Amino acid sequence: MIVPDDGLRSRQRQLAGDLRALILSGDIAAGQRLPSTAELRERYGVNNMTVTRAVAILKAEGLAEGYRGKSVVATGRRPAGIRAVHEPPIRATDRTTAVLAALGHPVREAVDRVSVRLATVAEFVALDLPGDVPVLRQFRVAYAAGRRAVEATVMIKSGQRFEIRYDVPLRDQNGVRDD
Amino acid sequence: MGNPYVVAGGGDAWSAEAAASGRKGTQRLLEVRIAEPGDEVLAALGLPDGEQVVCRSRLMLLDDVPVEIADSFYPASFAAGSPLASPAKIRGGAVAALAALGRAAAEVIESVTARLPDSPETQLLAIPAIEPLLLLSRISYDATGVPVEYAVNRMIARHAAPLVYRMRVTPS
Repeated sequence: MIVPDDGLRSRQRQLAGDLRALILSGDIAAGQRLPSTAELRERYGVNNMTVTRAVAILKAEGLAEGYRGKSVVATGRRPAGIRAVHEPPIRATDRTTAVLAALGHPVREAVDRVSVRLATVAEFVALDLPGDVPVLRQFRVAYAAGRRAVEATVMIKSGQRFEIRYDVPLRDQNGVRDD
Repeated sequence: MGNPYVVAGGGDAWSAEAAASGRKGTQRLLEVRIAEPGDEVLAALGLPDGEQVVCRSRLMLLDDVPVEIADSFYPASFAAGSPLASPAKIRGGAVAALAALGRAAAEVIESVTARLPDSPETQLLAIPAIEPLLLLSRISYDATGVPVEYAVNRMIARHAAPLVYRMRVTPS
């Protein structure tokens, strides 16, 4: 059965989208070949040019590589895991926690709210996004003693580049999903 | 308050969460199977090549509209033959079944990322291909630090409430 047209994007973007999901999930592992042009042509009911353009999109995103006459393989580039922590200081350039502490408001805890949406035009340009890439939006509020909010930060990350990791010890009744 | 998706005692966490906002949360069991999983699942559960897992795949609906595909993987070494492997809804939920096997979660690691859906996802969730998904993967560890469940939840981001994480700041 031919994969139906979503009627919203060009056929090459649809094809690239399906292959991208397979690569990002690891179903097409690093070094493993993408389905052949003939196979893709048949599965999507498209011509050679559409397959070539779809593969070019993935190459531009760094998800696939290969040269004319050779098979195209997945690079296996997966979203990098970032561990979300809020410790003073997070990194050398981030001195806000130190400033807050000096002002008498040491940060005791932080709460992240994570959501996902398509990128705005400004984010698309700033993050140099390669195409239809949803972004992760981390809205972090830092609290001093007595649950007093002292800092709010919005962080936007490319979903294709990053995976945010949270370690949640359940004994602390942490990590409420429906706070 | 603990996370009802990993701490037993709350019954059906999904319907309770929906009911709290005056909506109806239901689920449809898509598939239960025992299989050799891919590398991602093996790595998450810390299993060697060739090990089998029980996979439970569910479609979560909010007011009868699909909003999430929830897949859970358990090592077959303890899950095969248990209610976790039964092709029916688990009385009291999977969390309770894990606890009954003496493998209640004591710690979880959650990873959050985002991408656009592939063709099977657009069909199952009845969404256009430009509708972003929020991917939440969770590894649950028992009190001895052994992975007991790997869950992959693919949610329609627009329908998902923000995920909330509280982090204590450890004094340096």
